[in-house]
Amino acid sequence: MSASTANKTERVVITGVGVASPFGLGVGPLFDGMVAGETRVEALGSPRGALAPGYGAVVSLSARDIRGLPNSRDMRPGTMTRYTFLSTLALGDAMQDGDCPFDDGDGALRRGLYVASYTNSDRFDKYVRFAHHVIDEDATGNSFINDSQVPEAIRKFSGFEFLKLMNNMPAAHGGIQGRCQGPCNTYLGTPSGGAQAIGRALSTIQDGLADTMYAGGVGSSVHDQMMMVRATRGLASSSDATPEAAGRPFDTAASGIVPGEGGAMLVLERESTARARGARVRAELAGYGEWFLPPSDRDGVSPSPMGTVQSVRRALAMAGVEAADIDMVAAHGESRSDLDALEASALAEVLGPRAAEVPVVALAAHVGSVEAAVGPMGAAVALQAMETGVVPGALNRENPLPDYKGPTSAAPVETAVRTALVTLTTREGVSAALVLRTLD
Amino acid sequence: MTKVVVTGLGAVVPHGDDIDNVYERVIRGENECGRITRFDPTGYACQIGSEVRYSVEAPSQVGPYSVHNHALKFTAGAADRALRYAGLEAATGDAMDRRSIVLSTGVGPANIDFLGPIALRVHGLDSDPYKSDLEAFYGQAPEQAEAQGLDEFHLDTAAPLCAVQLGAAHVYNTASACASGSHAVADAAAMIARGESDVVLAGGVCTPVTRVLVPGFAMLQALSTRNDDPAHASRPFDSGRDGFVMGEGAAMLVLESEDHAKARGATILAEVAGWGYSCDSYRLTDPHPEGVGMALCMTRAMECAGVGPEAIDHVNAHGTSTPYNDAAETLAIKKALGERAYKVPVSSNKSMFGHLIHAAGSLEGCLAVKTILGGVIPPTINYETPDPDCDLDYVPNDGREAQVDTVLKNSFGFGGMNVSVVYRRYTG
Repeated sequence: MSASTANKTERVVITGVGVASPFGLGVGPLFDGMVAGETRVEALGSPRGALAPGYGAVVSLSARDIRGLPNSRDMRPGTMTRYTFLSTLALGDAMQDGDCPFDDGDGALRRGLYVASYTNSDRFDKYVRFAHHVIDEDATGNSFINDSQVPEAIRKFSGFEFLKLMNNMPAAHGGIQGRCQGPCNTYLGTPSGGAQAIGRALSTIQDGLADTMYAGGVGSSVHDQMMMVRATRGLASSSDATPEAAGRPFDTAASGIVPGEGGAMLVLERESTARARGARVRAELAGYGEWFLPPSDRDGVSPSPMGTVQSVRRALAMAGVEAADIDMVAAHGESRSDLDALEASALAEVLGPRAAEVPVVALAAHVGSVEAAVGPMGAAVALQAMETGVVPGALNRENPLPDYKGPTSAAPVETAVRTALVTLTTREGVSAALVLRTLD
Repeated sequence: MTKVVVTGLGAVVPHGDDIDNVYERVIRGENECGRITRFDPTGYACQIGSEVRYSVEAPSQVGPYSVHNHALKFTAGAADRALRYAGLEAATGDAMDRRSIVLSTGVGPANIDFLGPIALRVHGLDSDPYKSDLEAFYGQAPEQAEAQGLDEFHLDTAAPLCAVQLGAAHVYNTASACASGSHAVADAAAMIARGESDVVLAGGVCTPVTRVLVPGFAMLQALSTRNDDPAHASRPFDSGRDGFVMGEGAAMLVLESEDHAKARGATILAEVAGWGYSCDSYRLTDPHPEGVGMALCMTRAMECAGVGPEAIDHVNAHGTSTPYNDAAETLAIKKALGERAYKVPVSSNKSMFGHLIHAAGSLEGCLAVKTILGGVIPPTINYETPDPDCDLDYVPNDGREAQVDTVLKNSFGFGGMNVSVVYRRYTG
């Protein structure tokens, strides 16, 4: 950072939004589907249908859908995992929406990219087959890994596959796709990662390290390993639920995490950079906050809602707005009662008496758990609400948790949204919040 | 801008778990690359690794987190040692808001042992594993021990675990491949410089010496296959280099704002004076052949530190021992430092402990700090035959006494992600 280029007072604005969701490419189809009260959670086919809960929300876009996107000639879908593919779609859509340049000149030097992902491993089936090939039994019938089988078994992978599976590949592909020669990084871990990536991108621009940052997240929990982990640890939703009713954020009948997938990216720019190129400014990224409060045990949740409360208070303070200014909330609402109760308590504390009237949207009812994409996708929905004056309704929230004080109607709400809050409350204890604001 | 200082170093790495002793061994040019012992590598294309071959002392439980595999032991052990080095206790209450974690955790143990028994239950030994019935496999719920194995593919508790040890309210878990360790240090320094945190524990952990990843990266032709002479396999900048050696371990630095360190009477080891990032935006597999991105991040780091090439006393190179990297890095150092490049000692610590991937940059950062304090530049061992494309002073084979006030540390990752950090003697 050079002190001469750092400028913490200039606004950072959002000039593009990209989404790849089970509703299709773009924030429009997702938003319209949510407003219509639709869900894309449905029964899964073989073999993943054999994994609990047997249903999920899948992105049906294909490699063809990359072809129409900016700089698609440099993108090779065959070299991508599912995570990288979804991230590529979202970034391409964001670049298109923002009419972003992808030149190699000075602009590239001032562009960067942060993307969040829980993992980048989508070939668990190959590990299973590898393990099956190398397992052996000794004379007493005990199983062991026969190392002498490994050199043959490993040939079932291609060498390139190990590069594909590296966790930084969504950012590496994105750096090429977006022609970014500034800071590029991958944030791992919790569903709050996407919001953290956006928050760090905000800092990066304010610190003078970049003028433009692509930032967001990607996730796929319709993934054999993730489904097996969650089922084994009792985190998956119940197989007894009907798919369309399974995603129940803040509802007493929520039975756990509904598998889903998607990617979402924002184009963030220093306001002067956006104005200079005549970009359409959609809103200001006004605030960011996060807080870690460890869970009480490995599979539990934080002992109090204060982690989320603290993250929201920091985001509001950075934005210079009061809770009274919040017009809508895009919440995490993972459809897990203990976690949702924490988030609901936090919202009730932050919003006070207004909690009853501020609309709260939650993606899990419509697209399942999209992991690190949930924050950026929530932000995308909030931006659409700002533009249309419509906020999607509260799908599958007929019997709200006692801690939840917000609206429960599935019908969309017509209201002017000038300030939106995005909140993340996670099993891992990392909470994050973003504040988006319209520009006068 | 707030000055960022280093007050603690901690490592659990092949050379040991006492960073002062690790440095002493490294400046003597002691090698830790050898034949892999974690499994029997006979018949593997690459049979060489740099392993932690001693019993690691680490807590078995940290807050809600079980320290149940060697990756988490390395993590908890390195964090514990770094905090003790810095003389820091875990913060509580409001003080936690001023503390953060930036940890790079790209590769978990990826232990596939637990999958075998499940596959065996479903298919027995005789069926063709490549026609295995995944639906039947998925229908088998893993048993308890096997379920724990599922978690080992990821290290999602490593960074939160460190946050409990430090008493931190802010946790970032990142990955930029081989650049990750330095990336964590740079991000941590930026957080302190902008006034966001007073104390950040930064570093990385990596456990890639597995029966999946070693043969996998060998297929990428990234690893040395000098199996008959493992001690000489890692040979950065030498014309006979043929790839890197996978290493394992964890390494962390405690960074603080100068004011915070002074106020608590901490011993200040060095300053993190500058940092620079870049992305090649070129290819996934190869660095830019002209080292454009690498040079860019070095230049940015020096600009951030407010110094020019004449101030650089030593380059702690990325120096992986792969043909492409070492030639491109040499070219990039020349671009960034100009004529000064030929006068600055450049050495690769990886010649002695291989490539710790996500922990490489932070371990080498610890050693950069120790070099400033200790006055001996670690050598590049196994340097026997010069490569015309690598024509700088690589401190061949023997450590060198020198007054080192400023070190430029390079870390470059697969996918073209680059980070450089400038460490400087603290003079108050």
